[in-house]
Amino acid sequence: MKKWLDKHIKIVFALPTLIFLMVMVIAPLLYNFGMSFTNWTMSAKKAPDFIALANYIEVFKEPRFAAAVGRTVVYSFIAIALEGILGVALAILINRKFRGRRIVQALMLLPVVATPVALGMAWKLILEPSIGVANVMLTGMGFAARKFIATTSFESMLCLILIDVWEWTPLVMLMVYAGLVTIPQDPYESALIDGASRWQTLTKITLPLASSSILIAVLMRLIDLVKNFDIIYATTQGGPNFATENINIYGYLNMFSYYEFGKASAISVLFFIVVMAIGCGFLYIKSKVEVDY
Amino acid sequence: MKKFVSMMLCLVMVLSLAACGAKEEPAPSAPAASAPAASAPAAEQPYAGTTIRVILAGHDWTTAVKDRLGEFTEQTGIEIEFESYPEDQLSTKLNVELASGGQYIDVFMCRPLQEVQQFIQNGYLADVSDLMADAEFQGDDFITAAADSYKQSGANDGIYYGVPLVTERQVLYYRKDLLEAKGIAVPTNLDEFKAAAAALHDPANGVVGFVGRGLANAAVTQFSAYMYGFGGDFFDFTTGTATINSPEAVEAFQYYGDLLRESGPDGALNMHWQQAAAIYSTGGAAFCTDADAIWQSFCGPETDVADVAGFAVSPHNSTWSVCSWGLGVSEGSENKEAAKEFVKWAASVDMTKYIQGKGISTARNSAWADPACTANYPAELLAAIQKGNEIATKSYDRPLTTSVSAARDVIGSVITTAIEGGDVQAAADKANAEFQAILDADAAAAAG
Repeated sequence: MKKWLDKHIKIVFALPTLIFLMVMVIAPLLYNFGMSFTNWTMSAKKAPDFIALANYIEVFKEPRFAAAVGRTVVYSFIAIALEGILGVALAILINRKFRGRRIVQALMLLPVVATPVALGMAWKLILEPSIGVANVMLTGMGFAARKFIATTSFESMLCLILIDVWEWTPLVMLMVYAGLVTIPQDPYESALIDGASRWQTLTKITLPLASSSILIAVLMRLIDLVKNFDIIYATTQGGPNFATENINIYGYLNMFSYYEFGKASAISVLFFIVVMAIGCGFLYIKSKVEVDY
Repeated sequence: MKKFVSMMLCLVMVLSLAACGAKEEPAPSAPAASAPAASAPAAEQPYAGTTIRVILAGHDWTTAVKDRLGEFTEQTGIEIEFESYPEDQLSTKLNVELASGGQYIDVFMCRPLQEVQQFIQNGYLADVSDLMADAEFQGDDFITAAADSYKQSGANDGIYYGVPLVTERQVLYYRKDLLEAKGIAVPTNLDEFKAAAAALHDPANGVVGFVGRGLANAAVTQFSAYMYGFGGDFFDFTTGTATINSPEAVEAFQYYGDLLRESGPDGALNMHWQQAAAIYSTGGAAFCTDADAIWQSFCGPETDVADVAGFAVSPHNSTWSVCSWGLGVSEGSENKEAAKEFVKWAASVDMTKYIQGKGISTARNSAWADPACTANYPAELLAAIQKGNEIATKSYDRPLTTSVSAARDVIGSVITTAIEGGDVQAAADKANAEFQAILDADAAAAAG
């Protein structure tokens, strides 16, 4: 027995996790995949009919789905660009020694540790055009009042992007900072001797050597952004007039508001493929860009 | 291996999708009331020893009944497992449990206009016609339209799938002080109403002319009363044809949108009744139209406008009188008869009068006719409610179809366009086509 254990110790230790993954992740995924080919509306009278790809065809035909995909892409692209640039810049900043650095670090992490739904509710009140504090401050400073998230224009989406950037940039900063502190001092000393400028040091040493942690941070945020739900649901629920509806909100409404089980499953499958593609694509890019030291 | 781990991480992240709202903890069983009824003889307790699971909404009705559950057990010997959830979570919970057979649910609260048609079609609700015909229960005492909302739409089979509990109508809330200060009479038609709201619109001093629901999906139920006032409707019941782009409906969309845009608060697009009530109850609006059942949130004794609260029938003079909540028995329940005993007790004449006495608008005519049961209502509100019941032309405030939520999203999009000052006719035409597709799909599903 002991010999068998020694030989298969890796499997024994991994088994609980694998069983968990099978029961809680793989099995529901397969069930979801199967349901996506049916038209079940949760009826107790009527069994699900197999309708092949009809749900997928319906979803692809719907302008609302295409619009949700577009918004997901725009939202993710703008937010990841802002969070990436600001996160790296802040990480480089707090990597330097200055008085009160630890306090600054702790304060910046507050939005990350707060509950997203609670933050969403708070932002909803702040941005409320009639009684919210944001317009009070704007008009107090002489600017015109804004509609913020109470408009079907891009302003709503922009507000949500900025809330996301405010909330999650510190996480990017923290992850990049963790990478920065592991960079050895030798290349910097060599660069100093060779007379490299600060910009050259940043672009030729710091960023390439921190690329691994930057890419991981960006990948994690990108996947989170694509499947963003909590902030949007807590503030606009995808409105007004679907102006902030992303794929995740659209899928949720189909399942828990419209009870279109089959269609919602099809949306989930498509969504899963998109997120997997992003993940795999990013891992490929990471393997090409990463610098070993 | 590294790639495998990465793949697994991706999978976990993907599947940790949206978190739903937090579930309210089930409330514990309530103790017996202060004066419990004497135990009935065993012969009158045919279901003694049975335990039924009762799932109710977080509602004032539930709060009133919860304290007296012990009496029911005393009288019938039936034990109750009691749970209560906010309405959205309740709806999701019921759907999930009932779809998987519903054998573990016996009695539940549900909304006739929101989910009951879907529940009937899906076979979740048991036939309670025998209870409605029971002489002791006095099923004919219920407001007819409220009781009828528990029948299958278009079936004409006379089968009741539940009993009504709570009713509501749209009323006009107004600030007496503001109207008196400007010498404006309470508006009695839509032209007067628009003019009065515009005259009292003074955002610089923190008062808007009118506040009402502007959040697309939520606004549909209040907008509908305006649409009926203009002579429109959601769809033609006989042909199943969507009519939200009819001239009457478009006129109503335009009117409601103009009213909120020109005399309403900024940010109306995101306003459910809670946000509207927050503005009105703190003195931020001259007029508001919403359901009478929630009058205490708008101008009850706890609000800033309690002393100047005025009530009138809505200015379009064509409201709805709807049943907002009722009780159903699960078709999958193994204790249907015991469950019906609970419904019989909870919706009895005596219990209904007790609940109405607490200021909750019920569905029994006898409770409305008894002055002792309406003593908690302001006289003007009571008059507006009674007038509303008289003039109500519809018993629904949203489209009477199966996919109510999807339909409300579509119709709500036109309200949003109207509030923003967009092309209402174009939006109504687009929404009408989408709504027609929903109606067709529902009809096809109903046909099997």
